[in-house]
Amino acid sequence: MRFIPALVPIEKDYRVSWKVTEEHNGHAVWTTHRRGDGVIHGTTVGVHMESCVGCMKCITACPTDVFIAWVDSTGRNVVDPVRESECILCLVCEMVCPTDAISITKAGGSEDTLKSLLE
Amino acid sequence: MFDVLLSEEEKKIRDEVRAFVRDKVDRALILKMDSKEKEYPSEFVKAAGKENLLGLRFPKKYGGRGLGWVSEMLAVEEVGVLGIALGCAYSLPSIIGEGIEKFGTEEQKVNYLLPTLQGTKIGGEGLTEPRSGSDFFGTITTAVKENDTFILNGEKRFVAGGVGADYFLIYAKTSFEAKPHESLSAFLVDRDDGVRVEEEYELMGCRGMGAARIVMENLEIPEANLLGKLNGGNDVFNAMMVPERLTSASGAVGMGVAALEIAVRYAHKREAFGRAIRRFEGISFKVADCATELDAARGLIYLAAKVADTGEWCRKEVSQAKTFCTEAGFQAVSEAMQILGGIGYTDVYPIEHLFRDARLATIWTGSNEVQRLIVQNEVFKEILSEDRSLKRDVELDTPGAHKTTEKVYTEDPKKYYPDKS
Repeated sequence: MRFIPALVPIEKDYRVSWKVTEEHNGHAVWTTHRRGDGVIHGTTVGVHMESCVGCMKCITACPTDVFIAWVDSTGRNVVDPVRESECILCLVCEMVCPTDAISITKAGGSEDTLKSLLE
Repeated sequence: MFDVLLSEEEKKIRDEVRAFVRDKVDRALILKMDSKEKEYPSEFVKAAGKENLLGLRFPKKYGGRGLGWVSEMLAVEEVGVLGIALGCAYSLPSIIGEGIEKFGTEEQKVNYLLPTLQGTKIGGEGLTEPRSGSDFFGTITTAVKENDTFILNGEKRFVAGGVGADYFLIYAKTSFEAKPHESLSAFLVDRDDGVRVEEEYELMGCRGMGAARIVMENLEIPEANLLGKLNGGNDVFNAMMVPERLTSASGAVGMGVAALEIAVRYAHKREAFGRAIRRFEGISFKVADCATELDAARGLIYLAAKVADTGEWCRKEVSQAKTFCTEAGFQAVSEAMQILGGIGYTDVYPIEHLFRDARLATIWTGSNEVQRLIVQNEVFKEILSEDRSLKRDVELDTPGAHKTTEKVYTEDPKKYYPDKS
């Protein structure tokens, strides 16, 4: 029987806690040693493939055409962030994704930049 | 602004701008811009330049009139009645001009400031990036020195004049190790250097200003176009924020005043239940409150302009004015719409246009949330650094003032832990 991972939101700190195990279409593919975690495509723009339901809302919303429709190795219709380098961090894809399958990397800025603004 | 506080010279310039706004701005231009016409209002800027009305406070040799900040704020309030887009087009020469006049070389002043104030060259400001506007010091656009040029890479968003401007004042990261406020530099970048427009925004209001996302990819900028010192972007930014935020404040008051005047005339004539609606307190008290807030707003602008004229640090006053005036302006427009009722929501009256425009004022040029962060920071600094011996210690004017053990500010969280010794 095929193991079907639960539809869970993408793990936001995957860039720290997961590992890059392969490359796909010019972007990294992240995984863990745990069988049920699934895979995440992309670093600036991460798409958790097991949570993606292929609604394509992110394709419509993205102003810089980061995503393309893609059929993964199991035959599921999902999206792939093939042009993640074009991402302008506007977060609209995160907002429209109905299953929280997308995570955009944090923009620059820090306590230091806040301090610079005030001092 | 209140006549009693103004000098004759200030009243004269206000009346001159008022006449320009009344006679020299074609109504068709306002309607065209609001109908999503994206072409930059260059003719309007040119006309204002021809009348020597741009950048009033700059030296005459660079196209200004050598007037003070109060004069300039009066002028912006007058132009503000035309809506936020033309107010912005009128203010940009003053905003960008501040950076060039204070930090530019003579060559930059002649090549950029002078034609900008003459209305023959349009400048845009590249500050906000897709990642953030308020978090300015997190700027990720970079400029890397290569021989006698800088190689510029990055994107700027919501650039007024993104479509239409001849050149841009761009902030970029030039040091990759230093602290954020010591790592940015300002550059004058000509559109012809290779600036690309990637997105023209469809805006709720403030239309017709060519607001766009611009992209700079491996642009070669001559070293001569560095504005101010290398890694000195912080100084340019702080200087430019004075006109940027004060013009936002004045423009919003102009919009509020325009809307209130329409509402007052309407309430005087419009009847309900057998009398003019101004006879109902629900209406007349709105007028009272809005007029009071707008006058208070003008007071804050006047104060900030006076402090700016001294050349002293005026960030608190500027941010206070920006916050209060943009909120008072929007509130006046909103209440004017309420007074007009359904017809105020149509384009039979320009309130709906002003409503869409004024809404932006609380967001741009540093959101009001960021202004409040700045104000509280300045207030804490000011009060905590005060010499308390110069004032009466009011804290002691109470019967329990001597109960010092009751004046608890912090306690050791482990104070009542069991003693293990």
